[in-house]
Amino acid sequence: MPLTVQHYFAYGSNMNSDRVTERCLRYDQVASARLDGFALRFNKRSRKLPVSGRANIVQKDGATVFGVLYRLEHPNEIVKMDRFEHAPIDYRRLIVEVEADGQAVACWTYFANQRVVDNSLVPQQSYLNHLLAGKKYLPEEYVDELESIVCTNT
Amino acid sequence: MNEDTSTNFDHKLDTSGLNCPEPLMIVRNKVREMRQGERLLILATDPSTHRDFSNFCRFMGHTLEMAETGPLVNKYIIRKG
Repeated sequence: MPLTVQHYFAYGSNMNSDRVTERCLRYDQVASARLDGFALRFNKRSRKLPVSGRANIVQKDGATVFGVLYRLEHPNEIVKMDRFEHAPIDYRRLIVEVEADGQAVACWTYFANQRVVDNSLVPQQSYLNHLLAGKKYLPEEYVDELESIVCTNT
Repeated sequence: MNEDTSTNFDHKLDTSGLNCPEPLMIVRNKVREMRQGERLLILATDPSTHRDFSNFCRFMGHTLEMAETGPLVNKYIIRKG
């Protein structure tokens, strides 16, 4: 079945658009977006460093995840990201509806699978820096929250 | 006469027949194993590899020393930064 969704919502390290470019995703627009009813967590076990956590989102009433919305040059582009996100093994790719510029946009995003979730994990500072590289797309208070997250220095 | 740069390398990868992002995934893993300053010769047939390897080198601090487009195969040399 051909893919039709042409946006990708990044809430983790892929908010760093340089990193996404390096991962050879072709996109032609970048925007701020919010996903209501979800909260950011760092509870996905890292493959490289299993004691540290990668970003994930979980359902939570009243919470909001802010992120970066990429408009893909072609709907099939998203398949490239599956290789980097280890989908469907570590993450699964699902469609959510975010709000960008006051408009509802259907887009792909990734959710960690339960088998790689551990709520005791914390992120590495170097990993969190990728999220902060997208700060110009995020509200100031959200950036403050990210900057206050306790990290490991490894 | 200039030295043929395509003979001056420490490692070689042939990604012919593979399409993005596979060549990049393989190159990333290989470069991770290499030592700083070592050169990797890559053969690729996917035309998008030029852009992909350029972006990869820029982001990761490596040098794309050679990018040669051929009728059948493209050749690249990446020096690890």
